[in-house]
Amino acid sequence: MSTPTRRRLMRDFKRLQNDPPSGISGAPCADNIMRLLFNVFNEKQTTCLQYADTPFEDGTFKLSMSFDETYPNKPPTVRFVSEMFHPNVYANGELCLDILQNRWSPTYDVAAILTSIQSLLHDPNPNSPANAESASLYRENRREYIRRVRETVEKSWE
Amino acid sequence: MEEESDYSYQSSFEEEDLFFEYNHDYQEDLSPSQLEDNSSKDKNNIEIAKFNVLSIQDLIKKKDDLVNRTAQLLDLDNDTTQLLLENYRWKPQKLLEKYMENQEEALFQAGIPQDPKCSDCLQTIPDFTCPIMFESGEDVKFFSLSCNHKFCSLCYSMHISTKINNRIGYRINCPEYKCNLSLKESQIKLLLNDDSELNKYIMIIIQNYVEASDTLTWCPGVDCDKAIELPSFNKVTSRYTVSMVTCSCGTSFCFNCKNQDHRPALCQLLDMWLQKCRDDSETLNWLSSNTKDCPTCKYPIEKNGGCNHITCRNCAYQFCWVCLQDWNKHRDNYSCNIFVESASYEDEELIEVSKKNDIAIDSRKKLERYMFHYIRFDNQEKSIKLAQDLLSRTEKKIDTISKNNGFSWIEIQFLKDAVLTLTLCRNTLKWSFAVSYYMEKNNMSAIFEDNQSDLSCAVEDLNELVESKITPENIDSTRRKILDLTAYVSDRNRIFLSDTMGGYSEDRYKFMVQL
Repeated sequence: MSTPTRRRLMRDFKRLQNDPPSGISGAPCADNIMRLLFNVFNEKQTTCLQYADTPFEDGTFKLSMSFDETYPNKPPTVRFVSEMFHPNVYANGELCLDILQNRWSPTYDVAAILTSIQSLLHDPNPNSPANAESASLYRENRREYIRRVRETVEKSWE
Repeated sequence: MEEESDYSYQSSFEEEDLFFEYNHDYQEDLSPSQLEDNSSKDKNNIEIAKFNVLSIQDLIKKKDDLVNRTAQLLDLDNDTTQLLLENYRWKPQKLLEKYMENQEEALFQAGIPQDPKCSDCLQTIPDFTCPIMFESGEDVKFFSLSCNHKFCSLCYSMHISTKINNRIGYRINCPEYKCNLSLKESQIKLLLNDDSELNKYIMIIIQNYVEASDTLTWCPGVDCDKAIELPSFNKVTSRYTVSMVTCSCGTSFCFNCKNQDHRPALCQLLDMWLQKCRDDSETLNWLSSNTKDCPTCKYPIEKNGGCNHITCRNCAYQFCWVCLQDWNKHRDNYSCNIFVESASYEDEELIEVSKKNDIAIDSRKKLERYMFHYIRFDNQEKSIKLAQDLLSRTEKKIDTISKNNGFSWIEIQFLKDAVLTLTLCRNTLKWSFAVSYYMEKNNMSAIFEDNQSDLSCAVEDLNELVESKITPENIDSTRRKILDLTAYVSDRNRIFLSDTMGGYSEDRYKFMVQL
């Protein structure tokens, strides 16, 4: 079955395989192309200094992305499957990210969303917190914040 | 500046129009002379400002007029002007100011390109692929704004309809991420191939226009799509007056807060009062059903077990829970059988003791003050609901009287008029208690309270009379009495309302709250 949405998804996916952003791997679910599963790696990136030394370093977080026929006019539903401790990630794994809500543009594709999420991990926005505890720790007790994040990073290897 | 619309409601609601809430076709009943009458009055017979009822078509015309006029001033085309106006909340003054100050900035803010290169047409481009759905080929038409972000017409129309259906603002931008350029109405028309979507887009603009305008508001009536225009309305004077309007659908509401008639209370007072009722009524209910006041210091006491021997924790007074008498004077400690008509609370000595607990008493007093007004407010509200029953009972009564006694139906209508007047006056009384709760005591408030009690006495008299038994013997005298009293009551009501509204505008009253 070929709908414009599916054709577009195939193109997105082809682009992701031919020219993957560093630190991301993913595949559609075996039974459903409309659902993608990704691993977002946060390896130390020597080329990009600002990413080094962040607490999410070395973590491998699973992420699911569901599309429906409104894609790409509306953003897909994105959520973390792995446990996260991040100021902009809700307890159920949903994200608070502007491009997934009001700033969405149909020119965005899967690779662009993943890159944005990757950079959100390094650079949280504690002013619009989805996880109040994490946001207040990030602002007021950075050491404890880093410790909690490291815990989730270690859990992500299991 | 504005043309008079055909929908002007300059009718005068005289006594006979009291029915109009029940008679939806009342508009046809108005004679042309009434329509031309310039001084409009409402059902309380009070002068009200002129207002117009506007349909969607009228609104579109009004909006187009505004766009036209502004376009001429700015020397721009209508589409561009509309985008500019939308961006400045439909305030031409503000737009002109900003535009004269910094033309480039004003255009940029509204998403209008500086050098309009776009051809406003769809074109085929060989070897170009749409970056959204990857369409390409000779039969694919592309469109782009001056930003040169090209997308195929299909993707463009899907993008536009998604925006329209999700109601994400009135502005529809180029689909490219972070591209600030807006689509004009003509371009949206060109790209959308669905008329119903286009109508939705126009509705969004009209909605935006009405909501941004101070002198326009939507009728809150169920399924009513009319808007009311009150040209004399402005936010500052609305703080001291209540502007009642009536839509062609029969809904009567306050122009400012869209609530039902709440005169003589001002919108702000109404707001505070309703808020207070929401906050306090649960506490009140609980207090009144579960506690009794200590007979001396009036501290609320909850009996959560044990015997009837209560010692007030506040003033150490010992009393019987059942009869609230001094425990020591109590004859039989375990079965109270003293019937007291009313307990006396005025024991000077004991009040002296309780003065130590000023704060507790103060809050108690505040609560009492609130209770006093709330009970009366609530009572009127309940009476209004009962009046609906009274109305149907009265209608039956009218039927039986006219059948049994050979009076004509029209001769008995005075009963129905009386009931309708009662309802109107009870509404006034109801809200007047919200006002008197916030009013500080002085000579002016005394006049207010006198008016209030005059009206309230007259209303109760009339109510009693209306519900009294009407026999063939007394019908003539009763009828005369009811007619007289109805006229008197509606007169009192009018005086009360107009005096209070005058009091607001002359700043005669002092309130305990900042208005």
